[in-house]
Amino acid sequence: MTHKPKITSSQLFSLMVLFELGSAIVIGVGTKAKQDAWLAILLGMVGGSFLFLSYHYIYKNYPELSFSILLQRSLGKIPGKALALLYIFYFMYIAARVLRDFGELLVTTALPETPIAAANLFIMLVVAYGSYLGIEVLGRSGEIFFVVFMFLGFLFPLLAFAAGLPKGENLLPILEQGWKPVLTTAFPVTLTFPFGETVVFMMFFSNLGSPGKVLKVGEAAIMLSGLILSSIIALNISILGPTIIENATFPLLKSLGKVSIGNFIQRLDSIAITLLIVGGFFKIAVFTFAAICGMQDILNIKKRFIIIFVGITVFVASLNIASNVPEHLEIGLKLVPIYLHLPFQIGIPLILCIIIMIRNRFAKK
Amino acid sequence: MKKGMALIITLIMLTNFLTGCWSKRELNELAIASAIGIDKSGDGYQVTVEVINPSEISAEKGTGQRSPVVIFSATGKTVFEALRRITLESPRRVYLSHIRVVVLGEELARDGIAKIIDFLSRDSEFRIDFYILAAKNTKAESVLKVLTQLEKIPANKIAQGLEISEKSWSSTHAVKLDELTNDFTSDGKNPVLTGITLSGNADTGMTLENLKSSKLSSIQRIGNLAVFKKDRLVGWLSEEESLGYNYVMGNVKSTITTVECPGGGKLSVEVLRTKSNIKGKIENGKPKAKVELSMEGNIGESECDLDLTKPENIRQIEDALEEVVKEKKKLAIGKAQNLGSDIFGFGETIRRENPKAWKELKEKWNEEFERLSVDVSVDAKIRRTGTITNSPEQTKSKK
Amino acid sequence: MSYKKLSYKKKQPNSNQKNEVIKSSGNSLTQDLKENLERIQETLGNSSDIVVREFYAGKYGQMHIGIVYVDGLIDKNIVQRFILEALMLNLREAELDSTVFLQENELQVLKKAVLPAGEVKEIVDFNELFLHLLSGDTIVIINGVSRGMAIGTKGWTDRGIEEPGSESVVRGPRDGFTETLRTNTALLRRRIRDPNFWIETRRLGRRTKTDVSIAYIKGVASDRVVQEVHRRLDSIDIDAVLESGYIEEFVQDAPYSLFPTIYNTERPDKVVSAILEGRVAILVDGTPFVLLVPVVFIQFFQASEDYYHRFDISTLIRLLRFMCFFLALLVPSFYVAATTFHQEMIPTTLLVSIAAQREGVPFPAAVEALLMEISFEILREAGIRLPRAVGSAISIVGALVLGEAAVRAGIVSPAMVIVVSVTAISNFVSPAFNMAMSIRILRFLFLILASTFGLFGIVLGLIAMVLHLCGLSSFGVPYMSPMAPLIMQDQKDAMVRLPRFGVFKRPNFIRGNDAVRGRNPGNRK
Repeated sequence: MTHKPKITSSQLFSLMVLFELGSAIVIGVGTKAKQDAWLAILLGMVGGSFLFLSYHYIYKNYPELSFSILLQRSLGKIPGKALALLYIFYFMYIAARVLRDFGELLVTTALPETPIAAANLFIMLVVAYGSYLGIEVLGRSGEIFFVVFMFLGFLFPLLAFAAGLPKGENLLPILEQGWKPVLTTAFPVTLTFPFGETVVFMMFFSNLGSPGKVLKVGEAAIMLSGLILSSIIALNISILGPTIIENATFPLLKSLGKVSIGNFIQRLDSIAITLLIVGGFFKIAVFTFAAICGMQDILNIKKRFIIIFVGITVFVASLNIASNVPEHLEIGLKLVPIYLHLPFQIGIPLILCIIIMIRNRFAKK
Repeated sequence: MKKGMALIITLIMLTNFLTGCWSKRELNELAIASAIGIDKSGDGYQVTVEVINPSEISAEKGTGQRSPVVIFSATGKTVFEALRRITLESPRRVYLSHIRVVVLGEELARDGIAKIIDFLSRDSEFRIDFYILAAKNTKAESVLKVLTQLEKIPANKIAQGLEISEKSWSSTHAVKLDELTNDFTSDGKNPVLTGITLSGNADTGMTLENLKSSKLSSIQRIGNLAVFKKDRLVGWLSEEESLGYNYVMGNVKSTITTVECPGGGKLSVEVLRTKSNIKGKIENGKPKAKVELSMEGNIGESECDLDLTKPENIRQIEDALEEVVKEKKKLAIGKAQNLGSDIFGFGETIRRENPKAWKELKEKWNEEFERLSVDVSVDAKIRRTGTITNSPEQTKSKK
Repeated sequence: MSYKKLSYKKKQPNSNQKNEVIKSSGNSLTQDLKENLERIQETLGNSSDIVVREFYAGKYGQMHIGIVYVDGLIDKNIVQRFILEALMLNLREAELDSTVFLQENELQVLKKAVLPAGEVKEIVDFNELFLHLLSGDTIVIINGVSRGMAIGTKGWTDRGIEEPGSESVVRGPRDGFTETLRTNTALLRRRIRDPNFWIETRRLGRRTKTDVSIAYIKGVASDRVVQEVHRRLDSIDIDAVLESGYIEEFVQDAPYSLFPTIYNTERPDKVVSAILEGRVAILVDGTPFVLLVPVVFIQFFQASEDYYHRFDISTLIRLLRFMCFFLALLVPSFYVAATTFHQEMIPTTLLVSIAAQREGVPFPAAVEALLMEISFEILREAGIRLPRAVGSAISIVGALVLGEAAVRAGIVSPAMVIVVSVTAISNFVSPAFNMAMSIRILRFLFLILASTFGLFGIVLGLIAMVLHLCGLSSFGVPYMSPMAPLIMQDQKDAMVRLPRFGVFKRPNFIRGNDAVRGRNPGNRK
């Protein structure tokens, strides 16, 4: 392929929204803040949109380059390459985590006797197929699934309200324990997951057909997904109450299970699970494909082999990163945000920003 | 190269498919359970499962010769264990997603139901759309095994009976798992469950013979509310008190309330809409609660001498109605205070409105509740008198 | 064009190879008439349908003329009246000016002054001669001239224009393409009276030498697509083109995909409307099926009738077709998934009644579904091939034996029979047969997925399917446009059909430069 694959801004937008809603909507982020979870998410969203400004600043200075090459260009060949490799492993690790999330979701709720390896392998095969087809195809299918996702996203509140489920008093009192629990969940948990994870899109900004729109598209995607996430979580809490939500492994499913209109529309959770897989797919696919693209930039190997390598690695990692669900969740909520998300999503980009800024100063003089 | 890849992927997929079908459950390998009853048995639990016999239920194949449901029962140290032990009796695996009701035996309820809630919320096969009831004066097992008419499946009979009584008599309150969980984890609210009793003998009720007569010799009856303190049953409300409870909570959708007419005689009002507003506040360091109820109704039956065409008389009835409802509510509140269990969630209301004060109140809420002064007010409106105004008797005597 | 096929890489066949059929020392005609005629008969193996006629013409019988034609391919009337009569009678009576004879040879004289025929072409060598002869032209050779003439006398009995059997309509034109290319181009030309409507013709097939025409409106069709069609047709090297399917296989973008990337139809109105949108039609002699490129996914859900009915009705019908697409694709797999994996999804009453039906059915639901689906496919295939007289037997066997008796015997459950019938009926809703075929095949894949992973399998299968669809393209046009990539302007006539008021334009993703189709006042009262 000689020309660089291009995606339109609506494709980038759909991909970003699907990506951010992907696993966050299932797992229920920020529920540590009890009935103020929605607030924590909104705070995280605001933080995320500021982070995105820094990503955009970096991109603006090298609009033609994908992130992995950009690192080499700005930091020098060897440190750049090393850092890019670290980022690739970071992407792969998060991909594996999300894959594990969805494997667990399926195995606990829908397919109790199925080995998680089989479920994960199946997802991974589809992800590998998507990566093989490339960013253009991922973008296009993102557009299609975005519409499906949004349609169902609106259907859920509609049905919930039609069934008279939400009880506003479950959301009260606001800020029962003051700002502290809200702030501590917003920073770092909801900031880094899912909003900070948009760092992975640095790999694809250069693919956008209309380069001037990155900032607009990105911020719009962050806002929209933040609002959706926040309102869905608020809806969940108002339906089931904060205690159940905080304890539930997959809150959305529990509240969907409550929806029943007449004797006809009921028991929607199985359908919901499968739809959530769509979101999960895009999250895994974006991370995996970012890792693949990064490797392709750094190493001179055929794409096919990289896909096989990354695919197998992510798959195997997803099975071995934790031995049980509590361990998996513990790592995900306590360790990953601090030791992985903070440096990769905030630390390195900010340092990079500063380096570029200083360099620009010098260049002007 | 490309073909080789495709081949490998196909092979992987094929092995996946061939060895697949892990979670598959064929319909004719499943025993679809419609209800679970849990009783205490020594240290552990006795679990009773009511399983639907599909071929008896289906319109086409039913013979009428066999029972529409089958009861299996087993004991175990935990509910889960007992449930699996049922496999020793049942030829099929018990499938729990379709249960309509869970009945808890009274003895068990008095001992605490927290552990059962854990199982019900943990197992992925349970959905959260079933009703939970407490058996009164009987074992859960007995309630489930009595066969029913009109609804062939006893569990359906119970569930629908609960729904309909909640809708048009309102002395019951259909509680699902999430409400129960929320109430018993909350510091400021205690749960209630609707009771269910058995009239007649369970052992004659479980035979098909029983179904052949027009008046069933034994039948499940939806009863009054059971009051829990945390997860323990501490007492039962009477029917009046149950109605009072639902009035306080604004749960009344429709009910019949009979008042004494000012001029003598009785009059029944069909209550159609109620809206209750519970407020909690701290006055002089003391918590206070206020229950405001507004209700609307129609006159459904009249035995009094009042001229119902006169608006001022309607107003008198309204006043009488307000008094009666107020009385019921006070009765319910008084009983709850006696039992020391805040089933109305006054504490929860205070928490919502004044989280700071609640922090101090939380620890000693039970004692505070017993001494809580509750201000009850009712605003009743009679809208219509039905298809006639005055009763024929009265019109006749006037002439 | 990222998708390149092996067949394109094959080197261009050189002309020697192509014409090896007629091997001889010299390929050009000789001056000796006898020799020429003998050679013709020899090469054609004295086939009985070759008619050779020798005679002497001119006032004094000075011209020795031979005519050759293939019986059955020519219009005898034309040959009789405009060739034989002209040469044998008129030439004898006419006094030909000697000056003409001096300036031109006999052949030119005949061509310019004698023969009252429209299509006359001079031929020099045998290759040309045979091509014309076998296409239905009459060959005239004169002794002493090493050239011949091919006179267009094509005329054979064809089927006549009938209503197309595979695509019938309630409202709309009832003519369909026939097996004759000329008739087909005429059907198109009659509808588009635009000088920019071009029909380019070439011959394909080493032995069949089939005429293949490319029809498009210059300026409306994108030049890139036209060039691409030419390029792909050029690269075809095949001995026979018996149906447009032969070409389709070579020309389409993704031959290994289950989804059709070329549209075929036998309705002229459909082709015309496609050409007007900027598509290119490929017509092949000998088949009523015309190919259309480039094609997009939604086109298979649009019928020409949509434009003849009111827009609101058409829109609803289109949505219905989409629904049926999913029904036909997923109903059996969804049934299997729901009854073997997700029993909690089914309302209790329904579940109990399905369970009652399944009591005593010996097979797992997946196998049951597979059995029923396969037997339905067999019935359907048998129904197509059966002579009309025994056709009704199939429906009896199908309905009674497979439906009723299988249920009575307890081999399948009644619910499964309903599922299979719903699937089958929904499948027939598809206005395009080749898309219906893809659905038939995919349905089985989804059935397998559903029986292994339940709904999860179905959803992942759908994701893979959408990825695949998004990855396809037809002559450079993404298959899923205008949905992905999203083109808002073209949504007016995609999933829905809005009225043609206001400025309405050609689909953005297909057309060339000429975008506007018309301007109408929005609200006419």
